[in-house]
Amino acid sequence: MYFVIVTAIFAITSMSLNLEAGVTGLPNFGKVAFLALGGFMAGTVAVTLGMLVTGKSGPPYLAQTTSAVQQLAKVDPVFDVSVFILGMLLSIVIGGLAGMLASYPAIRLREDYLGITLLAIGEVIRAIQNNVPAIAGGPFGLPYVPGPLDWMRGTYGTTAYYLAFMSLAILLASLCFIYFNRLLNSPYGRVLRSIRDNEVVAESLGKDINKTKIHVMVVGSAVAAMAGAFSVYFVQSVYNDSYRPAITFVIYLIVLLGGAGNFKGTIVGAVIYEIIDVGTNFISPAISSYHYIPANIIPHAKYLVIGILILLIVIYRPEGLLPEERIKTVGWDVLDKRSHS
Amino acid sequence: MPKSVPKPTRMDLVTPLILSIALGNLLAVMAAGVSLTYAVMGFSNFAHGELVTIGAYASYLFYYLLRQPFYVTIVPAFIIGALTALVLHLIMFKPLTKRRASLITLLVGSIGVSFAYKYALYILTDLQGVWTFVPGGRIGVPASGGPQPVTIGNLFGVPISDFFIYSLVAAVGMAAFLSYYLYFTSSGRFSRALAENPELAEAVGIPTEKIRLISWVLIGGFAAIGGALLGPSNIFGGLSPETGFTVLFYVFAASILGGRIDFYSTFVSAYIVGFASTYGIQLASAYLGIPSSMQPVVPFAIMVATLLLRPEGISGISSLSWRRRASSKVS
Repeated sequence: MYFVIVTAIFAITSMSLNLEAGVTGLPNFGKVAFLALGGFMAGTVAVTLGMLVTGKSGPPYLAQTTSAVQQLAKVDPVFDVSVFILGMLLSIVIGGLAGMLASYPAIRLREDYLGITLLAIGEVIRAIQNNVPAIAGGPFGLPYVPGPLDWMRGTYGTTAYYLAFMSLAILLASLCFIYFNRLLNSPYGRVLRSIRDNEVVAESLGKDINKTKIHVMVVGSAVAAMAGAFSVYFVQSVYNDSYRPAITFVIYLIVLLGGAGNFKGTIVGAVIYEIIDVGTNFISPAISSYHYIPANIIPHAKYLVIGILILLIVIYRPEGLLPEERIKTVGWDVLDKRSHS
Repeated sequence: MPKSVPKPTRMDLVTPLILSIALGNLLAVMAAGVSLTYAVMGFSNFAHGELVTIGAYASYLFYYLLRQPFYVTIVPAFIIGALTALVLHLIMFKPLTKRRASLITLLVGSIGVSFAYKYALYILTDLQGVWTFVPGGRIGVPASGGPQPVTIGNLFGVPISDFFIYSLVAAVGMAAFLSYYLYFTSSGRFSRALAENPELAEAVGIPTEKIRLISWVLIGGFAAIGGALLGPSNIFGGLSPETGFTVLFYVFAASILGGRIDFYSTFVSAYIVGFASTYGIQLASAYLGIPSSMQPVVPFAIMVATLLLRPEGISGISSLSWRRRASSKVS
């Protein structure tokens, strides 16, 4: 069940990257920064509200401050759920705002410069948070964040908790999938694809490229921030180190593996990645029993595999496992029927 | 990095000066490689940082195995760097450019390669404690086993290590070599032609693939030299597989500020980045209250500012004086 939840979080983030990079052609190498923003916002909101309600004050990254919040969260469902909803909404807002800021370079820069710039901006955001304890605990992070279903743990037991969280995750992921798919197969989706394929033609046909790019960055970043917030509510802690730039490229791998421009493929990619992730954790004890091989090889081997996979996909199958589907319009359907009859 | 004090003492003025020049030297050597990559291949190579790291580790390895002084181990390190770069090109970039892959594909591919190299290095260094090739010896090199800087003199009371001199010699030597190569040898001229217009260069009969191979040898070799200097000089903390990624942004900042293919301005902007990262942060923390732990932000800020405000960077400064001379002739 943990598997499903993590896969769902990766899937949502990857779908947002797919929208930006796979469909519209905006290489967002700073994706992890939007995850981080959502996570920081959600964590700060939850802990601050908790401290307000319980009347405690003090640095949120110390366990003694948050233990009272923990007690409250265990008992009060209204508090949990409202903190969750508020946190998610605020993270979407901040993700959208950040996306709007990030679209400024997106409009002006060529592809590879845009990638480097967004990567740089992502690192700057992470560095700023690392130095300011007021934002989600700075370098110390937040060791405890109340989750939406904490009240279930006591009365209903851990299995029910995980089942409920899993259904929540699946619900979120499905909503995103439906939303992105409808976006893709609409006239707006065709505009996005035209921006990716040939910007000049798109502009010559009268489409407002800049405004569309801003839209895409805002939506993509908002969804990523939402995924980040959701993951913070699941893991129930916030740490700066979990938002290293390498994570953006894991997301990129998922998008490439599943198929850029195909959201079903993204879900497949997320499942495959999570299998690799969990799989390497499983073989770790088996391998370290060979005393020739130290155990800390495993996470490094995982990233090595990811790098090699990216290489192989880029060279041998750049369209991914599930290539982009053909455009679904009435005209195409008619042509299809005619060519088959 | 030096902390800021209200009244600058001689130490506080001179130490960052030395540091800036040292950093600038290193960045100049590495940024030349990035610029060469961009000129000859047409994209930014994210795996350049890994070439640097591999050169650093190779230099350490040869120092450990051969027990020769630093300026001797640089030669095999250069060869290893060149070979790595060639492998990179043949496996990855040549097939992709043949297929006319998009810029982004090349970029993502180079990122995949940098991951692969970096984590392969991690695995190798992990194994170091466990596997032995030589009886009683180790496959890897402990971090303290590499060449250590030795203080050889004083400048205004600040100790200067021999690595500072090495890096200075390397930077100046590389600049001289590249100037000679690019303007006075035929393959250098061909490279410049390739940088300007690849299709035309091929149409005219320039052996583009051979030029690319030669360029990759130079790129990998220079990166390796930069790495060999980087490890002992302790500017980015110790040497680890992560160093390549950390360095990459400084190098990219220097390359972008230098206008990417203008060699002279890239050289100058390497020193600008070096000074900004040391003096700049010192000034900022003294007068603006920005904590000096934000030092890694400097190259990012330079990159973003350049790309958004003046995308061509400071390129063309070498021809400024000629323009002035030309205009004075007219009047």
